[in-house]
Amino acid sequence: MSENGTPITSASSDDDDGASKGPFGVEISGLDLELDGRHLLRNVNLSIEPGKVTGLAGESGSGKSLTSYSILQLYPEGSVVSGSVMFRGRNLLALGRREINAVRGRQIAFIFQDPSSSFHPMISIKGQMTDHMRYHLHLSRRQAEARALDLLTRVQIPNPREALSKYPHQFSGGQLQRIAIASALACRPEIIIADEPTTALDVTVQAGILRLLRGLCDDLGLTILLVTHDLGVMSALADNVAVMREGEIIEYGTRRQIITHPRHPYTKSLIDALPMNVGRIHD
Amino acid sequence: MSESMGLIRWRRRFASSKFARALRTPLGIIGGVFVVFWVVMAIFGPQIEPYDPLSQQFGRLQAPNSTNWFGTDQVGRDILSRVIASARVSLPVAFVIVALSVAIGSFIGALAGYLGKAFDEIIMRLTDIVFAFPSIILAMIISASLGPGVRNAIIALLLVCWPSYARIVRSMVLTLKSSEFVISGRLMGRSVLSSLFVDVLPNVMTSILVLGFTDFGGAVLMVASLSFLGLGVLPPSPDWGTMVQEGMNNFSAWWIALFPGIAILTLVIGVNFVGDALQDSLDLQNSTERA
Amino acid sequence: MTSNTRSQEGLVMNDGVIRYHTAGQVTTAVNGVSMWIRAGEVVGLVGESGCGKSTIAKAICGLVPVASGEIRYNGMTIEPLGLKRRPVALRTIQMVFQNPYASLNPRRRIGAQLEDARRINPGTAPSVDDLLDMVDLPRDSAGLYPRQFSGGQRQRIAIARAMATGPTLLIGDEPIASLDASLQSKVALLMRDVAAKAGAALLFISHDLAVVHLIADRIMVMHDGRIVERGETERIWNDPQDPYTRQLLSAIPIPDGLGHIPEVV
Repeated sequence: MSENGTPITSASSDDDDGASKGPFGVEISGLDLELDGRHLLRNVNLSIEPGKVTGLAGESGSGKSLTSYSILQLYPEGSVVSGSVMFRGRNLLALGRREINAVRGRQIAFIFQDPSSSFHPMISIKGQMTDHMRYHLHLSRRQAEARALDLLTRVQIPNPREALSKYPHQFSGGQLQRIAIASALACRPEIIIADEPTTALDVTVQAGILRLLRGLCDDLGLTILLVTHDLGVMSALADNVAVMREGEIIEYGTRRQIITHPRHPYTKSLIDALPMNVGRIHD
Repeated sequence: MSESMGLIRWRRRFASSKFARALRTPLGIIGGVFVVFWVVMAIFGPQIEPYDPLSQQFGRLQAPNSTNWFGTDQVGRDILSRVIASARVSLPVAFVIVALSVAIGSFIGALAGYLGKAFDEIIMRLTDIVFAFPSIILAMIISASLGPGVRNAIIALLLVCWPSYARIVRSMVLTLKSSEFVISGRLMGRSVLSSLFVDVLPNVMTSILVLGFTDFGGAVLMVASLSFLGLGVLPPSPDWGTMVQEGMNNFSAWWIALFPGIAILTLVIGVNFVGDALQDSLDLQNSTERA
Repeated sequence: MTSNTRSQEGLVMNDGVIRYHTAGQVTTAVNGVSMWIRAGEVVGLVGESGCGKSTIAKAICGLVPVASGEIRYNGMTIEPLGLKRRPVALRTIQMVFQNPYASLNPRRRIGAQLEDARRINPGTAPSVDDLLDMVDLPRDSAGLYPRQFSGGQRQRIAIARAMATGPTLLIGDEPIASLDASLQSKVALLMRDVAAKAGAALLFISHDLAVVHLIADRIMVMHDGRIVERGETERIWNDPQDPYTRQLLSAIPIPDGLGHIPEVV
């Protein structure tokens, strides 16, 4: 796909879905993380199924973000880690710095909560989107630009060509999150880790982002790990849900089972605390 | 809320948290030893000095020997005793300068930041004027026009030093005053002054005190510089700056200038090391407290 | 307008316009809003970011001036606070802010901060112990510093502090937006309950219609600096008239486990 003779258009929609590669999953087993005597993750086992959205729910401090960051060795300095994170036959926790860097952003990409702080304020969208494509995929400037344009179209940014030359502050939060998703897709990742992707957004914008993420999963065969404390979002998007508390996964099941028939009392308390359900009790 | 912030917080919190821990770096320890040494010298100097620093009882310009470990000066005074005695002048003078400029600068700066508008504008232009001159030159000019002497040197250095604190406190107050707890205090009927003293200033003071400590070294240097130029501590009172100057007049007698020079060096370096360590720990603390 | 001015009790905002001047640009954040809150009412003000709902809260507290129109509380016109001390009569309007990490003085103990608030109570202020009981915090919290509490606990302390002043109107400016989902309803209900017990009115500002539905008697929906719809909570919830309200309602993800992504218009 990076042959020089190939027309620009082919560096875009058709081949970048990696039709030849099947969707890949991630298998976290026995993940333990200790930091300065505090046991932050305890024997975390999570199977992120290929081509599906796996939800990781929990309150702040439950270790859900730490678990997702650990997949790419993004834990705090001084962490004592054991267990394994298997991805395409390799244990990501055992990779060296150079090898894990090749995985980060390339095969496994991140989407963060606050889109306005995940962009450099002084660099145009084009600059930020094409930079890592040229580094990871060795594309020429024109190819990278064409690809950026194509990705912006895919995430439904109006006037994508104009958008490329704009700067982050010229976009609303929702649009910026779409651009962040486009950017995450740039290097044809197999896994996307979305950490509270809609928490900072307005509720009317949230639905659009959820739909977009669903589409990536269904149409492109991407595997998504969705980290959020919002069970409404979880119910809308996740196929399977794991619930974390105090560094442990206390319950795992299908979306329907977790939301409608939670087994663990803690999961049940989380679901009962949702405004819709509180309302039901009060009425 | 996402835990990504929490993640960074942990990293910082565990890297280091308390002032005491900050001083446990090698440089912090070295600095701490120097500072404590000179403070002890300043307090217990009279008991420690082998001879009267003013008495001209020895032969002139004697090189260091078993009686006069640091040698004697051109009128036969013991240099070791004079170096120790100087600490009694330099340290308190530098302390007064820093303490007063922190107090005055913080108050004026805080008012400027809080009140804004014309008052802020006037204060900031005043500081601009001071910043337009190299500080030691400005201190020289003021001190020369007031006449030599310790008191005038202090006034001169105060005039030069307060603006930097005013500037820093002002910018900190600007961010703090729109903070929700400050607004909340105002909604409960706090006056501007009460808001400033209860809600705002206590939250900038730690940083300012650490900064003041770091500047203490600079103040010692400035006092010595003014004395060197004959504008600060007047002879025959011992002072490192005047001693270095005397050494200039007797160039072959290297010991006259060398030992006070080492005294200045160790004190200033010590203060800077400790100040840096405190600053680092403060940065860490701030980043752990904000979320 | 006549119906609004008739009542001298409680809060009245008549045709309020609020503008921000930034870098030579003028933005109209609130564009002709009239509203009233009577004693003891729980009113929800709902809208998305940038709709002007927080600006209204600030204006009611005298933190931003109105460009035209007026805001009165119990007949007294609310003037911009500026550098003056807040008039005693207006100190019974108190606010709970969005960011629990910024709303308490980090250098003072909880007890001292509650004591300050008690001091301005025109009647008999509840004791610090009672205040902590009221928000379900242990009594020994008084001796601790804000950093020793979680976000949800800090928000409870902020509520206790506001209640210590003996408010007649409590304003919550997105008080639950930065809390965990599992805490949001709890804290919102807590605010309603403590306000109701003290006989204070509550203006609850939020982007979350589901939570507001839970606690409010009346709802006002704001969009682009205007109130687009107002009415009884159940009426708005079940039979929204304005297209924007409908959009807002339909966008709420329903936790039914069916994987249904809300339709956006």
